[in-house]
Amino acid sequence: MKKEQIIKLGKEIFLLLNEEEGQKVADDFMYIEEQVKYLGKLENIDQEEPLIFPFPQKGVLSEDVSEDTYKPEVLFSNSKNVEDEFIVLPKVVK
Amino acid sequence: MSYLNLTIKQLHTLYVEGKTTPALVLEEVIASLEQDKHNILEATMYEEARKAAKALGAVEKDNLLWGVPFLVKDNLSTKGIITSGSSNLLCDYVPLFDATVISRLVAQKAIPVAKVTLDELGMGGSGKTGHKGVTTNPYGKGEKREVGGSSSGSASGVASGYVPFALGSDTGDSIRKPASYAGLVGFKPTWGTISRYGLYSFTPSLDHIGFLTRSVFDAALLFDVVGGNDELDLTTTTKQLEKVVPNLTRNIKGKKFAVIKELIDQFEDQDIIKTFNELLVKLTKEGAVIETINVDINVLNAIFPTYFVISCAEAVSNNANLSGIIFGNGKKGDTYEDIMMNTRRDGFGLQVKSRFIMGNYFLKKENRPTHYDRALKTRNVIVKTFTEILKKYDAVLLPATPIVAPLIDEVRKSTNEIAVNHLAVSNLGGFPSVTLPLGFKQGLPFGINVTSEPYRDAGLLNIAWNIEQLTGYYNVSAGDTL
Repeated sequence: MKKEQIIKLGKEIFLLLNEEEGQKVADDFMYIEEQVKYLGKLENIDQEEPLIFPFPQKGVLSEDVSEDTYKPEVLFSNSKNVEDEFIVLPKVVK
Repeated sequence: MSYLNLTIKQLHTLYVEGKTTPALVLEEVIASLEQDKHNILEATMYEEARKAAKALGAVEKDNLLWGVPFLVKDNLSTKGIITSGSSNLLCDYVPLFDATVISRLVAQKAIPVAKVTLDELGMGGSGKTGHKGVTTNPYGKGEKREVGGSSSGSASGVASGYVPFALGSDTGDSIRKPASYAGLVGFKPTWGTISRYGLYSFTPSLDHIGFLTRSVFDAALLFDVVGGNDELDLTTTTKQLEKVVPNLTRNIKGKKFAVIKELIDQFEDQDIIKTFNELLVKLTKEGAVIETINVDINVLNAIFPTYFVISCAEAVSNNANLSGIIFGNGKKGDTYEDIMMNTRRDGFGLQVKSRFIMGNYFLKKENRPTHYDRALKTRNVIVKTFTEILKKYDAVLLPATPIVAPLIDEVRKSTNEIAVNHLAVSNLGGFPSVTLPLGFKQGLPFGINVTSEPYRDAGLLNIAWNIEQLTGYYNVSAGDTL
């Protein structure tokens, strides 16, 4: 894959790369694609079941229980922009 | 007298005998951390630690963790202390709570002293990609050797002898590889036996929390304390875990071990293989049964790409919240796109960007069948292969790493991915796995890895404890750094 395609892939997930970074990732990508070919070398691999977690996971439903939560000033402690009891966010809906 | 370079058990004995106090030990630990040459520190907790030491009261004879200082990998949340994940994107983030693993240790009156560095967000195996630069190995002259990663600060700190243990995390080999390079015991238990509540998620289906220690006994003790169900982490097991420490026995007679020929054939350093074979002879003399078995080379070749595709795919999804809009060290911009672009451009290092971009590629509709979906199927084949082996044998034994710690700027002609990445099998299958010191080459340590069936953590650590008796490598530290 060419660096231009890598840079485009990055932009899709809001990652900006310069030309040099794009070339480095493109080189790494070529190596990984060679490794990925090993996935297709196992016999009848596409008939296998996928394994997502090491062990089966059970969905757990629990009762809703009210509990004390943090005070607003604690919750706001990581925010750089707070007005009254609100965190101010940039407008994301155009 | 110096109180560094002691195991948990040794330090506890001194406390009980009244030969020192946690406050005295703590000051020595802090002084040594302040002189550290290996770039391990992210944030310090000195005042909190001093208060905790002062509040301890009388020594608790039956509580081996009483007053024991430890280091915390900086991808584990600590209440009121910056937890950066060694990423510029999170360099000012202060969690509101402690990770469960820390809460459980603090409840036993162990004392966290500092947050230590890692490869950014746990993504790397070198110790070279943290946001504060390269972390080095206390072994070898100067600060020239890799310590491995991603638990680089944890390994370097424990190998330097600053504290008896450190917390780490392991997604591919991030505890067990640095343990090999730094002459330590590195243990990751069965997936889901230690709560991951408060761990920065890299790849949830592969992530484990574990320890770096200087003795198998200490690893067993820590697992007994922190293991078990946690209602704050629904992926933790509800099984009752067997206690390890009471079951450590000097007996390995009749144990069956498998050595995988096709894997051994990949190891280039014959000095490591020779030492490994010498240990096998010792184990045989102790009554263990060693069998060399064969595994399809295609399965072994698939380990690295399976791990890499799954980890990148999960990582890009899990870290999508690091946008600068609602989470992360946001940068300015006129639109939300600008804010995200600027935040993520300045916030992430190239290795993380590279893995996210590849994860994006692997998950695309047109690539998914041949990449992510196929990796999940390959994972099943790999896990089934090793599960069958582990049903027949008490453990698989292998050298942990094919080489000793490389030089920081060493350029290797080629990488044998089978030999370098074989430890990832235990993450794919959730198998308990431990690395412990096996030998030294030109002053540099290397380790042996032992892996067992899921939930046989107690049996695994007992095997490791017996191996430790045979090698004699107990409480090894670099010693040349202080």
